[in-house]
Amino acid sequence: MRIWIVALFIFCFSGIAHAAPVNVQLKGSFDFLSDAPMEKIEGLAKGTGQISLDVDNVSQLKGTVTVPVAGMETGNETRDEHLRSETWLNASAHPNITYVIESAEVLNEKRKGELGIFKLRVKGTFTLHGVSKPLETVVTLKSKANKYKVSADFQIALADYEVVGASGIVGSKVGKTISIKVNMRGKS
Amino acid sequence: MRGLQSIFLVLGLTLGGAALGILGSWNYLMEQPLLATKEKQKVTINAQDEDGQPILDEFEDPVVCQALVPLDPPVPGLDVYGPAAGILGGAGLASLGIFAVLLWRSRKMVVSGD
Repeated sequence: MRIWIVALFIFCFSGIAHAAPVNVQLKGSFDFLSDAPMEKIEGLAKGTGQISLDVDNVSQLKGTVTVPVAGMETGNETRDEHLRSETWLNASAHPNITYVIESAEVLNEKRKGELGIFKLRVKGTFTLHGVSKPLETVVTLKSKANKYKVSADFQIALADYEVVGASGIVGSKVGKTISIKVNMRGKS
Repeated sequence: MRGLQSIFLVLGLTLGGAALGILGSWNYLMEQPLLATKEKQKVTINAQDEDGQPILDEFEDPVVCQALVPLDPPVPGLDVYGPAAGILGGAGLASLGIFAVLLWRSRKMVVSGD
């Protein structure tokens, strides 16, 4: 009987020390900016994500973020059609842009009552145009009760993902690198 | 012959510019953006309360709203670049006119022997 009580105590204690990770469904917006010498293009896209997270052990963060290419908008319908075409992102063959979070390192952590603010260096695989490359970025994760907010800024080079585009356009009217700003929210 | 080709080239460009200008100005003035691209622009609004203070979300961050909003009049397009093209075309036509008058007068003077 005593053994069972001790086992139960240990089980409960270990449960307090390491809360189980929770699954968070995220939704949000992705701003993208192409700042080329001849044209500046600002666009918006909507995306979803699913992360597994334990606020007491944030370095175990895992998850996937997905942005459908069909939902990317630049404010010009003709340009949006070009963006989805085979010459650019080829939405019919590669309908989604994804980022798979593989590891996270806590750079900074602050607690203010219920509010937790974590600055993380996240490593993962970014897939665009059917080409996958490792991508490392700094992510700010905020948590309050069962609500979460994720934000990040990073850049990608189109050449890395074999996005060639129309002849002579990349570098003149479309930037060689695209700046991306992520803002997502969700509940567990 | 080469001089004639150059004159036709300049004349063509000038008339083309003037035509674009007339068409663009017409679109602009009549607010009929038929030839304009219906461009939208990303607008970012920082939410504020009645006192002008930023409204914060549950994470104590300022609430920011973003959207792609159609512009009035839509830009860029002929309705915007048209008037500028019109001015250039008009200036070109005026220059050509002055040049033609000067040429005509100088020929007349040569023929009359003055």
